[in-house]
Amino acid sequence: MTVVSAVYFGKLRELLGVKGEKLFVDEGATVMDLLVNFVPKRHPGASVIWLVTVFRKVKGEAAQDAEGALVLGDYIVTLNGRTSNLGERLKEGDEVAVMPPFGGG
Amino acid sequence: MKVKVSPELDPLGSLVNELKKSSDEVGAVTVFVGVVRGSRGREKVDRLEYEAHETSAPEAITTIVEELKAKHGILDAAVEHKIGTVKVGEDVMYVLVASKHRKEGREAMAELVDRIKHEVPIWKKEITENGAYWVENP
Repeated sequence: MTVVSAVYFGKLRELLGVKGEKLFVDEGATVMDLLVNFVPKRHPGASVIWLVTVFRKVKGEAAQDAEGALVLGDYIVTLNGRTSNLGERLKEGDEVAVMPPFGGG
Repeated sequence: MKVKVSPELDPLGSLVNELKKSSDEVGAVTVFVGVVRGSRGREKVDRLEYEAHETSAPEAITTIVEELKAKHGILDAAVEHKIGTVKVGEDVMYVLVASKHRKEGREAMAELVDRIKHEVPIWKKEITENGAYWVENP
């Protein structure tokens, strides 16, 4: 198992009830795996809303790309401070931040 | 350059003075003050609550300022954004631009404020008489 950190902002903090957390993910898990599997498993009561909030929907159905992967909505996901390719594999100590559209100023 | 994302803002006058001293070439300091407005449409706003990615937000602002220095030829800038609870009428954000002439100062300021609103990981929730709403900048 690999231990990574996930941090959440805005409405996601309220949805999940935490600002951030350590997650145990499988060896070789990707950022997408964390979003689609490990976060929902950790928060089963919020999992459905999490998925429909973070991922794009088209006509009420989850949008998928050409390879069948879910498509992020307007959220930005960073890995260790830089915008992430969701297919990147996670390593021990990585930090994934899931950020809603910005609203400063 | 001074960049701060924090529950406390520095006094505005001190930021102006620091920028004036940043170079002998400063001929203009353009200042923007963001203030909490008391209304959301017809609803009365009680307060705003801000949160930020506290390591990435200052880095994002710094990057934007460096880009605008290169683009507009401004001399320096200072940006401070408050996080936490901010009441109606209180200052939320100070953006200052030091330039040789007012033209490039005004142009850089307009772009800087817009980019801060769209490119910096800061979020705000409006608490009104009717409820609470997370605001996404259009």
